[in-house]
Amino acid sequence: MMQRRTFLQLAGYSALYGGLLADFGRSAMAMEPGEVAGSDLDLHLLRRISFGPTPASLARVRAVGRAAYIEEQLAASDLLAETLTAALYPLINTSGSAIYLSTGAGFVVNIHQLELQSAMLHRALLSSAQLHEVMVDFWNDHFNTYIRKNPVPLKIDFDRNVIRANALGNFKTLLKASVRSAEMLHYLDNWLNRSGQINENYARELLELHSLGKGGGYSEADMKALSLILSGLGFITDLPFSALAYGTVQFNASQHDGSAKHFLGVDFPAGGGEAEIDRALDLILAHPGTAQHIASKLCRRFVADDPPAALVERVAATFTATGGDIKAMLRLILNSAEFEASAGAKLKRPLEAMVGALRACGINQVDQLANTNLFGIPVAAPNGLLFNSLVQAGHEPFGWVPPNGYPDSADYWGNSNTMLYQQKFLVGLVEGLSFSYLLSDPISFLTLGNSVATGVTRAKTPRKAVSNAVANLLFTPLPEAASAAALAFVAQDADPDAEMTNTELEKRVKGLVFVLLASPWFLLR
Amino acid sequence: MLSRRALLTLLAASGTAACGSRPGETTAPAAAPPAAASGGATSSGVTSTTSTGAVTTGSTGGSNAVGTSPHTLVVVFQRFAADWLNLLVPYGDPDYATLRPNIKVGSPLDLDGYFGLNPGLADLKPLYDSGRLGFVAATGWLPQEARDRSHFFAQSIAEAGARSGVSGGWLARVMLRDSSDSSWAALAAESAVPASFQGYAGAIAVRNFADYNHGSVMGDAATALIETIAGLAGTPGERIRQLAEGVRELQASPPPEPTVSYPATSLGQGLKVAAQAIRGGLAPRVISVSSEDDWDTHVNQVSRHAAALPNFAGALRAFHDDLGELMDGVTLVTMTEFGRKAKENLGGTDHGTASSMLLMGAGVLGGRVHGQWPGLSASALYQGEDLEPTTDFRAVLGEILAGRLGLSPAQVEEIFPGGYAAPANWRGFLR
Repeated sequence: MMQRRTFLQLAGYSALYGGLLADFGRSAMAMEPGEVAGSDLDLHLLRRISFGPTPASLARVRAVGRAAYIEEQLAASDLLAETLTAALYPLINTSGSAIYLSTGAGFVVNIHQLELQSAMLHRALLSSAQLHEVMVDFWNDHFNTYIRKNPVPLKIDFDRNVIRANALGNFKTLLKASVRSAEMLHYLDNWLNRSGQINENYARELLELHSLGKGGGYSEADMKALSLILSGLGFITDLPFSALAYGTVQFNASQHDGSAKHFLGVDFPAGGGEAEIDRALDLILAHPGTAQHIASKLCRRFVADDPPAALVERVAATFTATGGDIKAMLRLILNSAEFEASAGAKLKRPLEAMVGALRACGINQVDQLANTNLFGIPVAAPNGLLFNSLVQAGHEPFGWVPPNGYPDSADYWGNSNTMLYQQKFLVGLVEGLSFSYLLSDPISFLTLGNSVATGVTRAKTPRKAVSNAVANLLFTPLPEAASAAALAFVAQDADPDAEMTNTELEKRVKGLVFVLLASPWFLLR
Repeated sequence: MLSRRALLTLLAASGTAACGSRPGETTAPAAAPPAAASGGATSSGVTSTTSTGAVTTGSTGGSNAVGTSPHTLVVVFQRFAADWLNLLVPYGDPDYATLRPNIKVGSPLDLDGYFGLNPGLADLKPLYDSGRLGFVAATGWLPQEARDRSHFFAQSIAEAGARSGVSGGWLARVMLRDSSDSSWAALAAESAVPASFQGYAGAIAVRNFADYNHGSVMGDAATALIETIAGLAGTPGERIRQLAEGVRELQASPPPEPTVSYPATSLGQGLKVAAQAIRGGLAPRVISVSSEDDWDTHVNQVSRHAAALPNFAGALRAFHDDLGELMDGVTLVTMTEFGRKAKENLGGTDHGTASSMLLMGAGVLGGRVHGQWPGLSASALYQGEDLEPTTDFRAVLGEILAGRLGLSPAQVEEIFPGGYAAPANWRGFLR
């Protein structure tokens, strides 16, 4: 719909000023996001439900069709990717408190954090269950906790048991699991919320960010009542005497406010104790504001920064009808007309842009696998180019400090600073050392990946190199004027159809790979 | 032009004088400081500037500050609600210590006999003493319907500049009324363009000038190709094209290195970039900087402030000293989305209402605490628990926009509709 209208506007504009718009470049100045993104709906789907299309995923969706591919992805799990990830980053499958002890209570603090962060990147890059990984990222933003607030790495347990276990499950289960997690109780200070010393931090954010949403139908008095209801909910913290029990969630009745409360229109008689918490959560989860808020955030993530209201209404109705079934809401969104009409309406965030660039280049390892530990066993060195670039671009995995999670809008990410660090990442990728063994020497390319960039650099002539690069990295043609500029960049003064020396051609083609992956044709999704 | 501004400033000053007496109002500037009190470990050039600032008062300072070159406004946003009651400490208010038995600041650095500075902010004291730094106490939203204790909502409406009836951010509306032709006129010296610039396409985010190049061996040819291809994409490519353009400009004339060292914090880094842009002649009109100095102190406030405040003050001080004489053409103002509760929650503070604002610059009538102190007695507190705002933050911003960026009161009204930033509400903190 939007695309057609834009096209008509463009056509009218061109007809009117046809004489002035002699070359394609001028008329392309009026391009809208939908036109840049193109009309390939298979590609559109992959840009949204994965960290970027690959030749394999595009072939699959073309073979089975979009509706079937969506079902495949809703049901997918990738045991091989999980096994590989756990082998590379073994700390992610132990408990945070045990890790803390085994590493000498803080002497090697950030190894566990870096392993969890790297595992996140590795899964995003490698897993074939891409929609699951996208939803893990979505819920990690929704239930954001900052990885460095607690030196004890309870985030590891939280990511595994709360987020990953429920990412495509039921929202009610997910929310309740987050409330009973030591990571969240620590991050939002509820472990210090005690009768007579009420701390409002968690109650406010639980209502505003995790459930009903701002304007979703609760008052300041409801927030205060919830902070009383949550008082006394904490976890075992007395290190080192009960180190193994650290992080076990417990309700301390003596720290719970025993007064009568009034929350979301319901009376809670005095002395309700721990049962008040589940009662309050059930009221929150049954409230239409929660359905509306979750639906709106899902639509913002998958459709547009300013999501279509009619779609949000239908998704909210599905939330209510299914009792918070996440798959049912996603199925509705991804098969909707609003979704189909939204190609190019979103901008890739740095995580999607950088991981997507690696996927487009056929690279499926987080960089730098060469380190060894104290015992000479090879381990992943997590803080390579990808990780450091994400930090600089402001999108470090689990690195957002405030509780609202990383923004999900082009208004925030579409700025010169973010683009700059994405570009520096791309230059490091194609010209630097981190990935050079993957790009230049297929023999050391150990995985089953298909290095597109290597194929690109094997072209013999500038024209072939440009067409390879565009087809393999963008999966969609560039406007003629852009292709011509790219060809001029590679060929310079030489004949574009004549063979060029490998060294010179490779240098220029790598530059082209960088520019294409930094262009709107790659960054819109 | 100049006389109009001077007149407005004068009007504002008389407006303040007309206000009745209040519990904590400072009626006279702090005692004239010795020139030697400022300067410190800075270069001789900076010291002499500071002395000039301390000695210069009234119209001479005013004409220097306003007339000679385009002025730059620096807006520091303290993200996640700074507890100003423990920064600018109303130790003379008898209720202060009662409300905060565990977290009160016991020995503040006295400013005027009523307010004191948290000792963690000691780096700012010489600037206050030399008259180049001041405060407006008890700032926030005057209209009650705009007061909100949600970080995210409060930040978004503070950056919009109104609860409703405006589009985009207040700094965007300033830039849309500015005639500067510098491509760096709207600079976000932080990792992203904040919502206050939303609606103005020309804002550029810079976290580090030293990094401002993609670094490809293909050099300018790659920059040019990015510019061409992004340009062909129209609107979706605009920011990418703009970045390539900036890379080209900075290649030609890189900004100078800082002359002082800055704390390694978001604020330190941002103010370093801001000073480089000003000293490098990029002619920024408005610079936004984000202070992420651990302000959301629900728990452990005393130790967290002890760690954060020296960096906060150190960054502001470094910026002041780095700019030297150029500080004549700069006004810096801080804001935060709301203050924190007057009563502690045993070790920390939850979300409240009014806060305070810091002002710095050669043209600031410093060495005093402006505004009206509402007091912390139970009956004076908003909803019985928060400091009551007595100056709308938009009146503070409006006074700077008119007095330093040369906007007319009518334009200020367009930026902040509703009359809250009208001259009658100004506090007269500009020389």
